[in-house]
Amino acid sequence: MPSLALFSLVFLLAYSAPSLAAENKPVTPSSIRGLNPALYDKYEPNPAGTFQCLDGSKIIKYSAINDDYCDCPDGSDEPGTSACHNGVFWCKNQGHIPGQVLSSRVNDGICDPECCDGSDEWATGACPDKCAEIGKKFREEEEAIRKTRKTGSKVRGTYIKWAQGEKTRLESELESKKKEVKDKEQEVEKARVALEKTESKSKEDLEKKKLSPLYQSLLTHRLTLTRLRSKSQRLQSELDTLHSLLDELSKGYNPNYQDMAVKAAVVGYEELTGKAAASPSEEEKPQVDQPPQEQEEEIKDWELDELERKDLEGLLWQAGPEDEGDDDDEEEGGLLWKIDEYIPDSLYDSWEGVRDTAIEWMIRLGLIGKKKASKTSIAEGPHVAAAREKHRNLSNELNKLNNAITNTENTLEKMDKEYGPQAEWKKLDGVCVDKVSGDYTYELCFFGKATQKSNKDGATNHMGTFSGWNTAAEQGSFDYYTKQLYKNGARCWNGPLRSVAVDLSCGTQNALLSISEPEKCEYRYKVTTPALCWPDETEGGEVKSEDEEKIKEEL
Amino acid sequence: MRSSLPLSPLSLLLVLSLVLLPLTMAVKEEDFKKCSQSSFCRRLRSIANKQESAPSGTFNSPYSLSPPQAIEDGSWKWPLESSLYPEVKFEFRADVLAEGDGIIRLRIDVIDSTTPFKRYNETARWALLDTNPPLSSSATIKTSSGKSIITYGPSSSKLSLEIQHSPLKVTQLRNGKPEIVFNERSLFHMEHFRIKDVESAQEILSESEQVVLKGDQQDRSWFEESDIDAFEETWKKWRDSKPKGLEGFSLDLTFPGVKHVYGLPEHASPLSLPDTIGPNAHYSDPYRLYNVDIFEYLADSPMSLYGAIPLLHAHSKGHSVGVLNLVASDTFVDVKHDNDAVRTHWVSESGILDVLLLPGPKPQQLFEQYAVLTGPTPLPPQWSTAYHQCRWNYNDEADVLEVDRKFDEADIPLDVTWLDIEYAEEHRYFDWNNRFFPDPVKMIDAVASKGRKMVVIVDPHIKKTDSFRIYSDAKELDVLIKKSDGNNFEGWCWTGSSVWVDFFNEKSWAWWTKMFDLKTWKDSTNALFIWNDMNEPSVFDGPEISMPRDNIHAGGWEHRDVHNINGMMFHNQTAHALIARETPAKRPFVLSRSFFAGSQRYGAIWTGDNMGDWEHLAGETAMLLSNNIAGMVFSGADVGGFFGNPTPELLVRWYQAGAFMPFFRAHAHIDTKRREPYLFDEPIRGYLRDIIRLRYQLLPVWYNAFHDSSLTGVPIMRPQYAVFPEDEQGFAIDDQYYIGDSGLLFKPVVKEGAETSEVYISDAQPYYNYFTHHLYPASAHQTLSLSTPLSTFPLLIQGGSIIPIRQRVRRSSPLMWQDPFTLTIALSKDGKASGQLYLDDGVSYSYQQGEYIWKDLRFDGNTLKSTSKANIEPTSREEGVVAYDPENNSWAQAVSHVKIESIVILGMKGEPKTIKADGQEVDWVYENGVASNGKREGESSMLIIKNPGVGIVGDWEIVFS
Repeated sequence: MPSLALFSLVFLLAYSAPSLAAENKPVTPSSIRGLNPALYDKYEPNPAGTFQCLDGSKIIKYSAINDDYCDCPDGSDEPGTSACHNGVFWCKNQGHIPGQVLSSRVNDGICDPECCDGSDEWATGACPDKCAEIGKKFREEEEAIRKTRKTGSKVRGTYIKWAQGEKTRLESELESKKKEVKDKEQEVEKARVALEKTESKSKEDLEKKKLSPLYQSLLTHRLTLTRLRSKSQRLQSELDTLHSLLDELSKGYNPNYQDMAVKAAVVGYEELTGKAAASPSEEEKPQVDQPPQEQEEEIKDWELDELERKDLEGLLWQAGPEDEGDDDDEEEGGLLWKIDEYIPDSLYDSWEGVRDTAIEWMIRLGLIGKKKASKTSIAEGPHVAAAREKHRNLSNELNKLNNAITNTENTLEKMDKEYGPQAEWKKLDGVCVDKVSGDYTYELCFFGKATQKSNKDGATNHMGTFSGWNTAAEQGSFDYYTKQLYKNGARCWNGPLRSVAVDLSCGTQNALLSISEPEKCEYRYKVTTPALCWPDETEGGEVKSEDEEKIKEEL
Repeated sequence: MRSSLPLSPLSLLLVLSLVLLPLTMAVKEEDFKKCSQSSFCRRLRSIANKQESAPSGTFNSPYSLSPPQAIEDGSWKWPLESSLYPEVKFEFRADVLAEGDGIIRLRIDVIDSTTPFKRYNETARWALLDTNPPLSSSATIKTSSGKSIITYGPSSSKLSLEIQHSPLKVTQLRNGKPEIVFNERSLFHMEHFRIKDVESAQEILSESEQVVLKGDQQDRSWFEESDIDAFEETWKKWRDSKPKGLEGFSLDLTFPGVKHVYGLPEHASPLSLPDTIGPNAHYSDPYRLYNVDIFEYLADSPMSLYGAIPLLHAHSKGHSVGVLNLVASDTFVDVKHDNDAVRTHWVSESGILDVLLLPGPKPQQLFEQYAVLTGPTPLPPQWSTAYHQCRWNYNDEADVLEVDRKFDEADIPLDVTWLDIEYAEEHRYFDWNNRFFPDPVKMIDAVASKGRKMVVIVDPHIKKTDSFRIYSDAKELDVLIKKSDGNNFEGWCWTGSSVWVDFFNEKSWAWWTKMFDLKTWKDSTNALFIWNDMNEPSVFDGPEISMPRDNIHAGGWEHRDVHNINGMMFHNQTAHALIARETPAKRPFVLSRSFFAGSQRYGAIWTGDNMGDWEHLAGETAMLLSNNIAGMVFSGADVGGFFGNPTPELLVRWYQAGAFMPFFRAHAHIDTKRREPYLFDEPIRGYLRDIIRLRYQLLPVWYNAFHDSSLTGVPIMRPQYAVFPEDEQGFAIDDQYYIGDSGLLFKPVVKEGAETSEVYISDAQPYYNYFTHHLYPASAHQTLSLSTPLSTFPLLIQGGSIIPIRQRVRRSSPLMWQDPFTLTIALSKDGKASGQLYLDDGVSYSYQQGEYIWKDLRFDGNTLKSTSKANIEPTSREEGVVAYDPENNSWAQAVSHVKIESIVILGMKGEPKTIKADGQEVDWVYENGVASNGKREGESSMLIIKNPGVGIVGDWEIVFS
């Protein structure tokens, strides 16, 4: 209380002159201190000299208005004093916009920006009128915000335009693909009929061969192998879980906990994995010494795969009619077929064309004979195999087409709903923003993942995957797009799955401004993006409603 | 823990499964010693077993006295010897103190020891205001037929001390009736120092039960148990070198004619201490006093906690007495209720016997007598009695300012925002983490601009890093606690590898004061205050999560000798540093977790790391009452519970309880969900806001109570037995209490879904529901049933009380300094009432220069008067209270404009015809209702005087006719 003497002097003046105050009783609403002009008509004096509390609960003397005693349960009789706990004081704030403060702020000696004219501190006199200065600053800020919005909304316009183009492109793509599907479906059907015919012929032969004891025994072996593998996989996965738990523990445990048992577990685990004692920066070193089991001759997964996948029926075909004899000649053109195996998927389509042309020419020129189907597909009778492969290839193509259509449809649907009112967010799908904060770099990829990368050792934590917008707001409203949630990240040691709530606001750039962790492993990002710079007409609306809110808060 | 433990994969699995157990797993009891795991306790407690099983009359103390010699007026000594070891010399000394209506001090120590060892004798130096309190000049002694009888105390009190020479027995009598008996059961034993003898040790090893007699050696096994751990003790992985070997002592104190004993904080146990031994034992182990950092403590247990006050009250309808056992080493106390008396047995690891007998005869005098010895709680800064918001942790400046802002937005008052350990870079306290707090001074100034304060933590463990000035300073000054080998002790705590300053070392004091100097600690301001946590001390890799007992402090004393005082030394020096940082000085605020007898002089304490469950909420009341009767009045509990996520219902109930604790702070663990009151939806938020606002409205009541306590040491939370010492039905009640002398009776609701609550009433006065003004007519020994849905709780006004409140709640309490008062007057059965109002500037020491106002408020049925209180109350012993000019001191002038805006009188018989304030007619309304003198229950009549035109400073009267 630095200016105790001053305060008390003012108070003495304010309170020691009741007679003066009595003479100056307000006769017009405009002279009632702290009263919002919007309420003037409710405070008109009446001949009876009474005032009805605004909630209608009580009729009091008109002179009891602002007599520094709370008569009305709703606080309406004391707009200018601190007497009622639920009243408000209205400040004119000449040079700025009018404001209101709670009654409990009246004459508390604190200068509230909402009452920049200091009128609420009428008894303490603690606050000079600063409205000119505050109003100017306020208008400058408003102007800056407006400018940002304007610029941002231009960028947003480009997003929208891009999204429109994208939409048109997708729609036409969808149409052409749908056509393609129809054709393809017919081809598949033809191939299926052909396959069925061939199949029924060769089936009988095969059944006979299957009765051999060797084949039966092989089947048993395979079954056992499968069970063994599944058991081993289960064990491996349990071991992995354990490792990851302990790994999580050793990385994530809070060294602050006084739990020595946890520390012992961590140290033990680090010894087990060879990370012991070594400082974290040397972590890579021990990798050279692989754990002993790695040095053992290990059965490789692909070997087992091969064993399991081996086409037994195909082998029957091979073993049975071996003397039928037409595969003694080494395959001409075989090399070309073999190249198939080395061609990457992405080039396969064009390679196929080249190969087939080459072979056709070679056959024509008599350089090679026709390819024996039995070589590439020995699982069944050669004819069946060929028919099957053809059918399979066609089916695959059909599936691919259908998948593509579903994808496109989904994207188009999202562009209607989830990518903003004008699909402006589509442009940002996959765009990432990041920021260094403390020991970490935080990255957020819109509609994808949020991650946290240690600047020390580069270890990355998954913070969450996009799960939706602000569920508290109405879908499609402005508020709906002011928040994104990224959920189900990696689990925290002794805590929840990491998650991120992203607070979005209009800005000229996509940027991650700040990261906070109000609760353990529940993060909050502040992000700006032009996508939220809604154009002027809504901006006007926005500003107004924000103002209203401000006033509501004060109320 | 820096060494790695070899662990097999199997044990890893085991560890893992333990780690994954749900959090409901509570305290690790096995981390803390039971009596049977402590060599001294095993040995000394067994004396009681031997006495118990010996045929009646055959178990006699081996100790006896020779005739006394006078030392000076009021002080005598007796040579004391034990028939077990006639060659060892002891001395028994009895002092009669000048102050406190006849307090006796008994001391026993070994003298002329042939060993180089000395028993620790400095507990009194740290616990008492005056190491050697002045002695009475009027006490007289008579010695005849093997007895010395001292007569003492005020002539009206008829006190005498009867000292039987052989076997040793000391009885304090009032009017010839024994009230305290020392060594009634012959359990007193003081182990003398012996040099470890390898041969005899082996002998003992082989004959662990019976010592084989050699030649003329005496058989001592009937009294003294042999012990293989006598000279070295290993517990879990820790070895205690015990260089001084045996040095424990045991004593028994019997309280004839009582059925209730209270005290011995801090334990999570009922206020009226249940048995720890015998057929009715509620616990299986004695109450333990050994300050520890205990994780998720049990809600009902005799285990030791963070603080220790070796004070016990024994109470009956007819009398109250107390004992203060000045011992700071590990101490276990057995309590046993017999038909004729309550018997207690105290065993301690080291130290001299230094026991003070407090004569009472009523609880009120016990409080005053304890304050005479250890001092009262000085007036705290007024704002520290308001609401505190804490969390581990508010992460950065933006977070702090947001919390600050959100409280304002929700219109919930707040005085203090707290920062836990994460504010500090690498937990190097004092050093702010600049990444998160780039400009601490700016932030504190922003918070302080609304009259608020901040508190940050400064713990006693100091990060062992040469770049840390606190460490390098302390190392250079050579003021660190040492290991038994003389090197600085290092242990593990939040900071990782750490060292601890030895605050017993006087060299550390001026240095520590300087650390808080605003010029030294540039990132602090005078609005920043301190929290001393972990000062038991907590050492994560130490035995019982504390320090090895053979560590060495200043003067060569072992840690075992001073353990329970350690936290207080730190608390003291921090409080001192805050007083010293400004001129003129302002009142300090330092919260400590650890405490000892005397800690009340340095600041507040709280009940540590409680859990957010109903059981712990229920347990807090008894713990805090226990603290309050033991002088530690400025105490509270983490509102909401430190661990866990309370349901909204539990949180509301916890705020209701917290708003009626002297120290009112919400706090939460780092793993919990945020639970600041503004985060909740209605109606929860409204409930929380209302309860915090109620605390602010009642701040004058709290300040009155703090002021009273600062004068005489009376509790702020007063249990039923202390207010009504003659109502036996109230002696075991520890779930409701009165706030100071205000007449407010509060009971927290601690049961889930409780729609009604029962409150016990001792006296024949009407009681009024604070919220509804429902009047319960006078009837002694009644139990009231109140409707207590979540929005409310039992808060009653005792008929005859005048409650001064401030209806207008501001953002922070300092902003309320010139707001008007309301007087709520609840009439007694005979239509009268009284109360008081004490006010000062709330922050400085100018009240010691007479700058305050202190009014007596009194209504006699016709006239309501406000008059200045007598300059000094007859009971006042606070040196700071000086004569004052009630109207012209500068504080009185500063608040001379502060008015009484409203007077509410409940329970009047009928409407008065006129009411005049200082001759002027006043404005008033009257509502019919039940009167205070009737037998009818219901809403009381209510008279409200509007703006009577009187203030708080000048004397005035309002006449009703």
